[in-house]
Formats: sequence, C-alpha cells, structure tokens
Amino acid sequence: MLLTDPTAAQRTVSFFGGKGGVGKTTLAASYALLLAGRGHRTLVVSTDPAHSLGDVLGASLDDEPVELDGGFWACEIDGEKVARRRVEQIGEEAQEAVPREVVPAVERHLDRAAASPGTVESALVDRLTDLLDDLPARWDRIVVDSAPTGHMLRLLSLPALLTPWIEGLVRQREQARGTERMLSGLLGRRNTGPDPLLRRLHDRRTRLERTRHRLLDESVVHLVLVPERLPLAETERAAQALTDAGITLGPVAVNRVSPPDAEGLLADRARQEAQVRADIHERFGDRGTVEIPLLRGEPTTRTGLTGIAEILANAGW
Amino acid sequence: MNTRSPGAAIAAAWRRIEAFHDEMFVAPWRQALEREARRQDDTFRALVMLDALGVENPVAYETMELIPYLVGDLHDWHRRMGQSTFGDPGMCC
Amino acid sequence: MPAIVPVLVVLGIFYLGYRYYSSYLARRVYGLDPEFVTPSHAMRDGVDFVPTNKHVLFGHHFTSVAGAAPIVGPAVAVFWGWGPALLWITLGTVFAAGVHDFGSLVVSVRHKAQSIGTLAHDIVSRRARTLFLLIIFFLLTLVNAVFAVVIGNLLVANPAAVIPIFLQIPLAIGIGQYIYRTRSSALFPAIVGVLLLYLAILLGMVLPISVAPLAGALGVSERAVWIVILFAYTFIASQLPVWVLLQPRDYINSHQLFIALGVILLGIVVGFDRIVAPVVNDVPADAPHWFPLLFITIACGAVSGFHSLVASGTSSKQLAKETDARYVGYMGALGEGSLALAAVLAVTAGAVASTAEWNQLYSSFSVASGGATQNFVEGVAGFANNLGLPIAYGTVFAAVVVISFAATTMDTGVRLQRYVVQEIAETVRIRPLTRNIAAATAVAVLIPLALALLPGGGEKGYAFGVLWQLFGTTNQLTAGLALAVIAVWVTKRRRNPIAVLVPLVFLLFMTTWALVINMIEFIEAQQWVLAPLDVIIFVLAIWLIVEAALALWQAWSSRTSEPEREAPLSES
Repeated sequence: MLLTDPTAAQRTVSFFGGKGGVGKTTLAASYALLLAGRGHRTLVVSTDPAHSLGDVLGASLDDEPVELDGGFWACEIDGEKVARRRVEQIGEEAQEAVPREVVPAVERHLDRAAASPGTVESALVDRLTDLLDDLPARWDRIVVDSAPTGHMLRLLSLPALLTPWIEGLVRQREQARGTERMLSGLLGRRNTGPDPLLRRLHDRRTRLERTRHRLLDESVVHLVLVPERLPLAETERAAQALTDAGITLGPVAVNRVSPPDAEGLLADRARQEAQVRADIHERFGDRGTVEIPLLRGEPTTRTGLTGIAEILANAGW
Repeated sequence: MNTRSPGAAIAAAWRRIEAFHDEMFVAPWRQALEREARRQDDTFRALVMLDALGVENPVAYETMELIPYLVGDLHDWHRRMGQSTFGDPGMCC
Repeated sequence: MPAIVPVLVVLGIFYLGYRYYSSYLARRVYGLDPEFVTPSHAMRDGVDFVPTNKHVLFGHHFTSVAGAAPIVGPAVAVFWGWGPALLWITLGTVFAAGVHDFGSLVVSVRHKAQSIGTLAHDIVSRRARTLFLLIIFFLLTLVNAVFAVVIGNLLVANPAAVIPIFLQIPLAIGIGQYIYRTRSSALFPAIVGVLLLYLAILLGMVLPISVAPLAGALGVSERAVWIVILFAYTFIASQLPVWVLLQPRDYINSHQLFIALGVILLGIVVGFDRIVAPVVNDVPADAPHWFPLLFITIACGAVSGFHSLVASGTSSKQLAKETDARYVGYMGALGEGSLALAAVLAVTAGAVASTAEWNQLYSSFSVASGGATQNFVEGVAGFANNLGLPIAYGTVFAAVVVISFAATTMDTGVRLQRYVVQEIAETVRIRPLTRNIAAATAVAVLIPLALALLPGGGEKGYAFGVLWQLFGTTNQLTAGLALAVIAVWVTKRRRNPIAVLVPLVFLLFMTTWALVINMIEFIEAQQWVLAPLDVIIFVLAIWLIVEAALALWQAWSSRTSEPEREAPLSES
C-alpha cells in the first residue's frame, strides 16, 4: 500500500499510539528495527508509565538509551524519576545560591511543585526534548512507543499548552522588571543587570517552542488498533483530536487480523472483522493502512519483530 | 569650615530645598512605584507558586528552577496575599 | 463686601475648629493615645507602612485629596447666594468633614490600617462591604461623568487651553523618562516641566484649537466631541503602567496645586476684590430650592467621602503617632474647605466686577451650573491679574490647572473603578469581567461616557447641576458610610458618639430628601436615565440607613455588657 502523505515517510520522529493492549510496543519496536536495518541510527523510546518495551526487546532498559545492536538504541523514560532528579539538582544549586536559612523553604516548595499534577507529564516531555535535541547528532530517527491514547494526546499537546503559560509569566516578569527599572532610576540607583529569572523563563520557552515545532513539523503519529468496534471508535476520536492539534497522521496499523482461511471460532471472528476492516479502510484508506495478521504466538523474539518489520516494509513504510 | 563662601551657602540652601521638595513631592511618586513594583512582583510570585496558595499549577515543573529566587521574603508575601486590598486609593475629588 | 473679610472669618472659624473642636474629638471621642503603636511601626515594610513626619504626611494627604470637586460644587452652589454656600462650607468642614476625615484615619489606624470598605465589613456588617462597593461604583461612575462634562465645557470655552493640556501628556511622560534614565534629582525637571507647561499656554494662545468644524460635520455639540476624546484617552491612559504617565503627571499636578493656591491667596490679599454677588440670591421661581439641595451640591468642600478612602487606604499606613491623626485628618478637611472658600470667592468676587454681571452668569440654575467652572477659572484669572498677570493668560492658566486635576481624577477613577467592577463581578459571578482588564475598563468608561453625553446644560435636557447633584449624593453616601463606621466604633468603645451622629444623621437625611425631590422632578420631566439612577442611589441610601441603625443599635445595647478597653493612657 502506498503512502498518500508524501511527507509522512520523511519525518524523523514516529509516535505509535492507540488503545491499551493493541500492540503499540510491538509495532514500534518492529518499525525501529526496520529503520535501523536500513542503516538509520534509530532510537526507540517508551513513554508509557507501564513500560513493556524492555520486555519486547528482551533487554533491561532505563532512562539513558543503550545501544542494543549497531545503530539501534532503546530506552524507557520515567517521568517521576526525571522530576525527582530535577528537584534534587535545583535543590543542590540552591544550597550554594541562597542563604542557609531559606534552604528548607526552598526544598518544601520544590517538593510541592514535584507533587503538582502535570509534573510527571511535563518531566516526560522534558526528557523527550533532550532526546529529540540529539537529532541528528546521535540518531537519525526516533520511534516513540507512547502511553495509551489519552496520555499520548496530552503529551503531544503539552508544549502547545504550556507555552502561553510561560509567555504569560515572561510578560508579568518583564512588567515587574520594567517598573523596578524605573523605580531604581527614581531612587538614583543603577540597574542590576540581566534578570536570571527572565533568562531561565526564556530558556524554558524556547525549549518548549522547539519541541512543539518538532512535534508539528517533524513528527508523525501512527495509530494502532485491532479490527474491533470499540478500538475503531477510539481511534477515530484520537485521529480527530490529533488533526485538530495540527499533528500529522501517518498510515494506520491494524493489528491481529484473523486469517481469512480460518475455521471455527476464528472464522466467526474473521467475518465480524471484515466489516470493521472495511470501515477502517473507508475511514483511513487515504492515509494508508497496513494489516498485520494474527500471529501464532507473542512476537517477543527478534525474529517475530523482524517478521512484522517485513510486513511494514512491504506496505511501503 | 566657618568661613563659607556665598556659593557654598547657596549650594547648601539649594540642597535643603531639594531635600524638602524630595520628601514632599517626590516621595509619593516613589512610594507609588515601590507599591506597583511590589504588586507586580507579588503577582509574578503568585503565578509561579500557585500551589503554595492551594491552586493547581500546570507549569510547576517548568518553573521549578525559579523557586530558589522567590522564597526570600515569602512570609511577607503570604501576609500580603491574605490582606484585602482596595486598589490604589490615591484618588482626589 | 471685600473678599478678604469672609476669608478672615472662615479661616478664623477653621482655626477655632482645629484648636478646640478637634482637640475635643481627640480627647473625648476618639481617645487618641500617644503611646499606641501605629501600623506604620507595627507593620513597617518600607513601602506602604512607613512612619512619616506629620507635616510631610499632611502634605501627601492634602495633595491626594485636593482636586477639582471642591471647586465645582461651590461654584455651582453660589447660585443660591454666597451666604448659604459659605455657611454650609464652614459648618460642614468643622463639624462634618473634620469629624469624618479625622475619624476615618483613627479607626483605620486602630484596625491595622485597613481600608474603609473592609472596616465597614468588620465593624458595621458583612453586607456593608457590598453596599460600600455599590456606592463606590456609582460615585466613580458619576465623578467620571461630571468631570468629563467639566473638562469638555472648559475646553470649549478656552480653546487656548487645548495645546497646553495635550502637551502636558508628552511633557509628563518625558519628565518621567528623564528622571528614570538619568537617575537625577527630581527638583530641577519639575521646575523645567512646570515652566514649559506655562510656556505652552502662550503657544496655546497663539494657536487656539476648536473642534467646532468637526462637531458641525458630525452634527453634535463641541462638548460631546471633547467628551468622547476624553474617554478614549482615559480608556488608554488607565491601562498604561502607572509610572508612564499617571505618576509623573500627578507629580506636576502637586506643584500646580501649590502654585494655584499661592496665586489665589496672594491675589485676594493684594487685590482687595469685593464680593458683588448677593448674600442670598433671589432665584427664579422654577429653580430648585436650596434646601436640601445645597447640601448635595456642595459635597467635596463641605464633607467629602473620598477622604475616607485616602485616609484609610494610604495615610493611616504612614501615621507615625496616633495623635498625629488630628493634625493630618482634621487639617486635611480644613484644606479642602479652604479650596471651597477660594472657589466661592473666585466666582463671586474675582470673576465679575458688578452685580449685574454676576446676575447674568447665574441667571438660571442651568446657566449657573453649566458655566460654574468657567466662572471659577475667570475668577482665578481675576485674582492673578491683581498680581500683574494678563487676564487672558490667567484664564488659560486656571483652566489648565482645573483640567489637569479633573483629568488625573478620571484616570485614577477608571483604575479604581476597574477593581470595583471586578470585585462586584466576582460577587455576582460574571466571569468575563473578573478576568479581562480591557472589558472591566470598558465598563468603567462606557457608563460615565453615556451619562456625560446625555444632553445637559442647555435649553433642552437637564442642567449640568442635576448630574452634579447626583454625584454629590453618592459622595455624601460614601461619607455617610464612613461616619457610620466611625460612630459604631466610638459607641463600642463607650464614648459619646454624638459628635459623629449629628453629621451622620444630617447627611443621610439631607441626601435622602434631596434624592426624593430630584426623583419626583426626574419622573415629571420624564428623564428616563436619571430617574432610575436616582432610584438606585435612593435604595442604596435606605440600605445604608438601615445598616447604620442596626449596627448602632447593636453597639449601643452591647456596650453595657462587654467593655472594649482601649482607653488611652493620656486621659487620666
């Protein structure tokens, strides 16, 4: 099957998303292997809090990418850990920068910020930004095994969501600094030089902006589903939400399609699936669909993954 | 320095006028700017440390590194946030 | 009668008022304690809470409260003759304004320097805070409406004032920027700024600007054009940071205030002008009656509710010793009364040379109120002429001073109104207004704009004085609320509240009565904007009376059971 969106294939970052348990991780890993096999230096990242990428690849992974094969890296990022690390780092810097008696208050407030809802997702995006920033120096392609749909949507829209907040803060800070500048003039004092807070806010903003643009211009999302009614409904909603957010949708992967020549129970399933598959084709045909047949066992071995990779390659991925 | 020249006397008188003028006319201006600067600073602090006021803060993670700069006079800030203010009543009729 | 006579008499009474009555208030009613640790010490923060020398604080207090209102009111009210006007100014200042300004300061100092709105909530009742916000809302709406009309009238009458008034804006911004950037002392730029402003008057006289062609093309009055321009300016100016225009402009204004006061005082002393207006004027039969309307026509100048806002919000935070409240508060009232006195003299002695001339200016209430401020301006020009300044120049000078004050009040008023609108919107849960500054500003600007554009001051429509009187009622209600707070507080402390109760009852009675009289008038004249407005203010007045009576009754009944001991050490 050919891709109708010519830019989708050239995009350097691919997200795999879909309902829980539809085989995102398997497909992401297979696709990453396919890319690595073509000679692209490829990183596959899992952002799902319930990581299974390591299990699929048969390796123990963590935050820092490890090279499993030549040109094939993998890692699993954990938002809570990233946030904790940041809190520690800021706390340590503060030890030197602020008066001793203030340190406990600083730590108390940092802990509160770390416990704030949204912090884990922000930390995920932050870490993902680090990895994206290593394009193209360390890798040519990044494949992201996302958390289930809702999570992924939030993750992808987070930079666009947070940027105006940060901009609001920048404006407020600039206003305050402006008044302070006038005040120090009135007091006959000299200005105190650049504002470290404003600099940090600007840094955060450019960082978020960069990631937002990467997500819009360099990324493609592959939705994965199984040929059943409920996953299709959810996939349609997700597709709409992603399109609304300006994110490019790539070909849709239909996983675990029952063989047409099956007998008994599976034959019944195949008949039911036929209608859903037709609907999927009608709905997503123009951006391309690929069907992966139901496999005999779990595709946890490299050979299993390579098999799926071949199907993807045949479909023009 | 008993023998002051007329120039020095004028300069001293000018300085006295300036000091009086400063207290009478410039001080309110200064105070208004100080108040405004503090108000804006308080607002900024409130936006960054929303959670300290019991409000959910979606950018808590992004602004974490600002916290050490802002906890200095936190006590006064908390007190000011609790105070009801009624605009700037410097209003004539 | 030579103008100097009433000056000496009134100032003499003011002196006696300060010397004896304020001393009585300090000892017996407010029970000032020189040992009391004032908020300026207890909550000292170097910004708001700063112990300040009482003379300096008086200077700050007086410059914040003095404005155009104590000029306009008396200039209108001499329509009934200068006798009633001066009598009300004198008695009001000594027995109402002094008690009110002094008392607001003391109660605020005794309550962590909180503002009168919060004090009303804490001392009178929880509902009183909402009542306070509503009164302030109408007060600010009306002050902006009447000042826009006043400025509009002055700009139409004095085309030469247009250039200096408009040049004042870049001048103020420039002075601000110069001081901020060069970090130099502010005295020299102030002198240069004021000189440039008064040079600009010469330029304005060479190039008078009239909007008559524009007004003609649009088919509206010249004043309407100016009013729209003014509100457009206010809408923008009130959203600028205060340091850009408002503060440097206020700074220039505070100098202008002292210059103008000096010119008036010296002019009267040097010129020995005679009052040519009648003591009691034989007004036309269809004119409004002086009783009770005089007491709302002269609001600021006899008693001003605005002063409680400044006293409780700003000055109370800087009072170094509680006993200074007498000087700062009571003298603030006397200062305002003196401005009103100056206004009366300007329109009865300075502006006119003969009684016939005066009778023309005050031929009807409509003519009198519409031209009142211009009469004041010409009166000041007359006084300035005694000092050798040409009349033409003096007129523009006085117009510039009055317009500067009124315009700054509009700017501050809209800013303050924004808080009020947002707070009321929060109470009644109108989301867009609580968040959006431009929307809240639009509300703060559009309502007074609409009121100011209503036809008035001419043959058709109502007299400007009617709108002015509505403003007066809201001002008196603000003062009434502050007096109620003071009275309840004094009663709770088991002191004799009669000195507070008398002006409170007097003000509420006169205001309510005047509102009823005007209401009947508006309904008969089918003024379907003013009538509902009058009704709303009347409802607020009744509400205030009920709240005050309930709180006083409660305070009175509880004073036998639980003594609230804060007795001063000095009293023994």
